[in-house]
Amino acid sequence: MNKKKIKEYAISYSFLLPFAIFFVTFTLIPIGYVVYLSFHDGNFLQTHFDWVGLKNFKDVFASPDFQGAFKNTFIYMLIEVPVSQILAILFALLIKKKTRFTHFCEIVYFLPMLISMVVASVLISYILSNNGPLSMLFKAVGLKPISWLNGQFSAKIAVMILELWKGGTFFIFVYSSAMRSLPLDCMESARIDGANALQETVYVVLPLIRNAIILCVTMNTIWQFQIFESVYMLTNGGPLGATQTVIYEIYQYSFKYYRVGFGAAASLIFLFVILIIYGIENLLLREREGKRRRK
Amino acid sequence: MKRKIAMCLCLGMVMGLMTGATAQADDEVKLTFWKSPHSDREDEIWASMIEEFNKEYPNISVEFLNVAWDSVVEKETAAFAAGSGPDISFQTEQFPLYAKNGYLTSLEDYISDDKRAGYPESALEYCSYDGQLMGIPFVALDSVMFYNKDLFEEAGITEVPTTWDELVDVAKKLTLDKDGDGETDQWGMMFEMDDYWQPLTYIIQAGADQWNENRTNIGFNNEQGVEGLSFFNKLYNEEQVVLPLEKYTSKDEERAYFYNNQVAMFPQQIHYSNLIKEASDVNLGAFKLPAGPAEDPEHANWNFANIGMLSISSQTEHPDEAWKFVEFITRPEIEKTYLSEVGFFSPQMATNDLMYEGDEIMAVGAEGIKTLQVSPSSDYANAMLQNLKTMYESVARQAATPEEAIQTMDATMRAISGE
Amino acid sequence: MNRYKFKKYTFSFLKAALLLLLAFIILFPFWQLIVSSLLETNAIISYPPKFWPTGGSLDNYLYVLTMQNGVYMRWMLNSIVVSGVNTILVLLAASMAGYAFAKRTFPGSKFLFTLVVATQIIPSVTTLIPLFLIVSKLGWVNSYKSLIFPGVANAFGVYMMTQFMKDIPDALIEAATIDGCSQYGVFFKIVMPITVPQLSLLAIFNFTSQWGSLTWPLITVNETTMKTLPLGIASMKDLTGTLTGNIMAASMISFIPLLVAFIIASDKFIEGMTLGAVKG
Repeated sequence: MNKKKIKEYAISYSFLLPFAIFFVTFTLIPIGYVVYLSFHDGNFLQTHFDWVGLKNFKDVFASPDFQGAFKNTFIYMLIEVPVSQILAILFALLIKKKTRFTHFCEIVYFLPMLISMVVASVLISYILSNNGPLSMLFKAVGLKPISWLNGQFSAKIAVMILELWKGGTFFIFVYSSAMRSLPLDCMESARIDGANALQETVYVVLPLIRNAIILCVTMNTIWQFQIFESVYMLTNGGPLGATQTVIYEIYQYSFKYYRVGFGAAASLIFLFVILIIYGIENLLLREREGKRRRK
Repeated sequence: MKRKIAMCLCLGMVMGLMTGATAQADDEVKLTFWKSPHSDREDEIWASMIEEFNKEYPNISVEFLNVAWDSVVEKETAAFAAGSGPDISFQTEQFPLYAKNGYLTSLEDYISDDKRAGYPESALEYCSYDGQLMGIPFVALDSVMFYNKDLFEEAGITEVPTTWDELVDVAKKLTLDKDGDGETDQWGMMFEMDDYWQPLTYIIQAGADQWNENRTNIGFNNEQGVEGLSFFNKLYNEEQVVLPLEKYTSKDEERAYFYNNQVAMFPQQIHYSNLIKEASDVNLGAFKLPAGPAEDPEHANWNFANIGMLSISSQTEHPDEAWKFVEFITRPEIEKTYLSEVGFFSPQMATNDLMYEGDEIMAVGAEGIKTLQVSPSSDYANAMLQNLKTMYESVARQAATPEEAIQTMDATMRAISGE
Repeated sequence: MNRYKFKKYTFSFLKAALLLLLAFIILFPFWQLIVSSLLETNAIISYPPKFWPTGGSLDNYLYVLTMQNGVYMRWMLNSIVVSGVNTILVLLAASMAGYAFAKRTFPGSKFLFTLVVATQIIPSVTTLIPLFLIVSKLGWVNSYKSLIFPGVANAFGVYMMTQFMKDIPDALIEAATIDGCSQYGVFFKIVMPITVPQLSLLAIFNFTSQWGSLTWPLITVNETTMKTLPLGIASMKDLTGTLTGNIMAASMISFIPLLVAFIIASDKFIEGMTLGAVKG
């Protein structure tokens, strides 16, 4: 019996092995090195690093750059996540019935996921530029064009537009797939009860796709925390640091200011913050599942 | 079955590609040379220079790598830290970081007295660390004020400005509302959005220094520094003779104002003249940057100048061959090919005599090169540059007074250098 | 009745209008990419913006394809090899690990899964140089190995495949085991074939992210002929900025293989999305 179990475990681990080899070599060891660096001062060109204890962590908390970056990152998250989720649910509702037309839309909506962030940022920055199509549209309808990348708040919006355009449609697919797998009889009974489309959505569909919502919100939150490339390409953190994010600052300190330990410490603090958020969201998920089971 | 054959073929191809690159003759030496681009034809120019080099040294092959400016720090840090730095690299004001940690070879034993004699002492000093020559000066540049001759003529300006006050006067005359709709549509000057250096001119011309003594923080957290930055503020916000920031969102858009005769003057590094001439038919002229109020002429006449050098890695297996390449490339008759293509000067006067004959714009730049004062190098050069930009911007956007902006800059630099 | 019909038509009209609006918002930048790839740089950046390539030509494309003795096609070959081989390895490693996490019990399963998920959060900019030091210790710098292998540790892929595999009915696996299939047989003969849509979804995600990857190749590639497409295109960028006709054309050509692959197999990818990661 015991021998059989051991054999079963061995087979389980053997399934993990190919991934584990790469994971340990190319992910865990570098992360271990980051942990080591976070307690040291210096840069990669030095042959040895000085032990500084918790100084890097203290510096991160004291740094106005990082306070600003954390604030910006939260602003991105608090605006972009609800907007993209509401839009995604709306479009998922519109697209869920399979027709030739919605199939065409699905193909189109997938396209931004194929293009690289570098190209996407060039295109969006062109569209938002002072001489670009959007300001032409504003002029055509008699509005004063906005210089998107120049305003402290509008530049944030510009980053969010890029993020939404590039990654937002992903959630439409997740939601529409969840909706398509719903049992039809629920809907029918709602229809018979005389619910209109809005009521049906709010009281029947949304609760049934709760898991999908929580998954998407969690993923979207993590993605928003990771914003870097779009800021680097579109605004380079400006104007006046208004679009800087945590990862952007980590990049600056590690590579431009040669404070690698500082960057490492900031990464770990950052990991900790995201894990707390992830934990809270997971907790909510589990609690609801528990409640449902009790019913 | 077919699928299996196809897979084998694919795998074979991959293996072939993986191993193919390493085959080479025994006596052939292979060098790597990294440089960030100053021209969009960088790869082509170097290909032909290396071809030229191979005529003299057929058994030394040189692999040129064009490293994008955005990423040169990451790339070189990683490579040197791992012991695989490029045999030859183009180094600028950040080189002490590499020199200090022993990644660059001292060229003292290689350079001949004859070759040394071709360079001004200040250029060699700039390329030295701890008394050891760490690179051969290769490019030199200074800054001038580019201007649109037609706009000057239209405004009836015959004399170019030579002092700050004259600059303000001229700029005011050139800032106009041409179509009479109550909004300015021609501006006296502009500052390039991504440029770190030009606004610094005023701070130093007022008598302040860029660095403190240890080169760990700014040297202009003082009265003169505030005076200089206040002049910049005056141009932007009091006189409003500078193209405002909200008029553009990218370098391309900003330059279009100069190209389309909507901006009259713009201070920039000398090699921009090639760029402007290629992109527009502006009737282009240049003059020496107007002098500031500082008492000593060195400060008052300061303009941003720089030297780029060719350095040899201490990790190279072929230092002698690498030197042959550096020596060959920096010969006046060879280096002039690259330099004139890009629009640079050489730190060697002998080369400059071979280039730009009869070019009145380059002649203005050449005057400055004769008394080249190079901006000092430092470990914290990158950090300084990043934050200078923020400092100018906060003044231009009126988010801070000049005093406040300098205080913030001082505090930021202190936090970065930990001093 | 009539009123009901009217309402229904208005509703479908609105619905179609919204869907088309989003399609337009998504397609418009792509259209601009095509237009600007046919124009000269000056025409692209000057006002008013161009919506039609009037006066355009294929010169940019010719330039890109012929520059430096056709090095562009070499970059494309590199990108195909790197993204292709990496994706095959990711599919294998991630689906095996996902199967183990979703369908098999072993000590430490929960902990290891959390560890894998958590590592995604560490920003890659901090691990960049430590990773390079390892790759260089292995002697892989400037080789396909360095471009292909580090990316195989795709934690997101494992997370995704674990979620997918959870939906496979246990009964199916049990039945196969009773029929005398070995544990590996179950995986390769039963599980892999029924997860083809999900695997193709992971494939397209992984392939596109490898295809667009810039930072890592930039650190590890030292020769022009070893560059991948994004890296090559980045080195075409000069003092004049990114919005040049040549760069637009280069970007457009680099997008075409993905587009063709996607259109051929689009049914599979969308099926993968639809056959559910998430049940309500």
